[in-house]
Amino acid sequence: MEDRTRVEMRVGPARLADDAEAAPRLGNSGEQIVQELNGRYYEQVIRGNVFIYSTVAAGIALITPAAAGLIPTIWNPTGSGYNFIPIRLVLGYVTALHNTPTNITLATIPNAGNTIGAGLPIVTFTDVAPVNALLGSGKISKMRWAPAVCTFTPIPTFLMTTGISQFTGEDATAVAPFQLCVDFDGTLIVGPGNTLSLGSVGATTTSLYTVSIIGMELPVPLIA
Amino acid sequence: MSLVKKPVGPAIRGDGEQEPPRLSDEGASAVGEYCGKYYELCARGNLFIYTTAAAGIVLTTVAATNQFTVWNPAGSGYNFVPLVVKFGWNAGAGNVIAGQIAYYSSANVGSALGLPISVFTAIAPVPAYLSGPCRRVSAMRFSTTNTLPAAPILLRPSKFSLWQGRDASTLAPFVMVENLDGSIVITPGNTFVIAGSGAIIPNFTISVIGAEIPIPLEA
Repeated sequence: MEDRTRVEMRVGPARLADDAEAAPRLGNSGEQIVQELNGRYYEQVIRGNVFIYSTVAAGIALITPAAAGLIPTIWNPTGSGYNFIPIRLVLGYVTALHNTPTNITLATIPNAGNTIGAGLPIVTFTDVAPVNALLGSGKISKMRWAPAVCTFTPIPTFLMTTGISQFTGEDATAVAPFQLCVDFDGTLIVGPGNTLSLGSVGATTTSLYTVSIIGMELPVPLIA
Repeated sequence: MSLVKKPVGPAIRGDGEQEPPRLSDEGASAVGEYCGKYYELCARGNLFIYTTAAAGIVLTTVAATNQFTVWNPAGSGYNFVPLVVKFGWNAGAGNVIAGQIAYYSSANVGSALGLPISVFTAIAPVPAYLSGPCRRVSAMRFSTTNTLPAAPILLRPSKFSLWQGRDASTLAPFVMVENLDGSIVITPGNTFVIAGSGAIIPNFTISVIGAEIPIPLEA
């Protein structure tokens, strides 16, 4: 006979002392009442799975993806055994008069392999070590990060806009401070053998941004 | 029957220990999120990117032709749930007329090209899990070149309205991202359309991230 247990909890407010044992609380609609204990990504950070991929503070220009590269690129090498899951993109405006009106985009190279070389998808790639968001952690990133210097054989394929745009705006303009930040919220996973680059639609952009991408590196799950 | 009981208050536990989850002093079950909100759907191959080319499209006043359209064909077996909509401004827009960007839908559009949808140049949605193991193909159809049976019906404004800002405007950079967060569900035989309302809106790169969820078995 099937062994079944009916689980019950307690409806309504409670006032409990530490170290007591008590029934979890339900709402009047039968829902379990929960309380997030830490920040959303704390569990991954404390496990050493979150990294910060940044350009230099002086910033870079975000340009149209091309074989000549020079765009911030995270490369998940084939065989890494890990997925890269971007959490947040933050752009910090540095300087420039007379920006080129455009929007900032994401692009990717599939089947990017795990080797650098002439004729391969990744021709050159000047690595900079990502910083573990658990400061002091010895855990090393499984990704490769080139904040500025890289070249490709195929031109990275446009994936989507980030939703961040600029007019001709000038840094001498008296406008209020502004935010340039996009949360991914688990909507994108970069599997092994793919790259993720940040570029623009406009042919060139004259504005300089400090770019930081915060992302998780998790073992590839066993999903059918 | 079994009344579940959990310990109250802070805890420090080691990996591999078997312990009950804990409660707050008010009886709430303490929880911690594993990854981002949509990670599970993405890892399962249910999220897709529906995007224009980088060069973008001009959003005109809603009409029966050439609309940014995700078509959930009748009989697909899936609901379409737009989660995030992103707009990227493209240069060259010199004559912006104030207006709004809005979400629209056409009902009873069937499953086959012909009538009521007579033209639909399909663009393949991209799985949001790049090289994911599921290799699931989108059950939706996506297009920006199409002929719909009539101008779609307004669902609601997006959160973005425009004045006459243009390329040369000396304004700060800006973000145009709307999280719909499951607030719209497109069932089979309906469309999800993004267009201008009462105005000609400039050229945008438009990317929608949406979930394709098997239709639930409801009473």
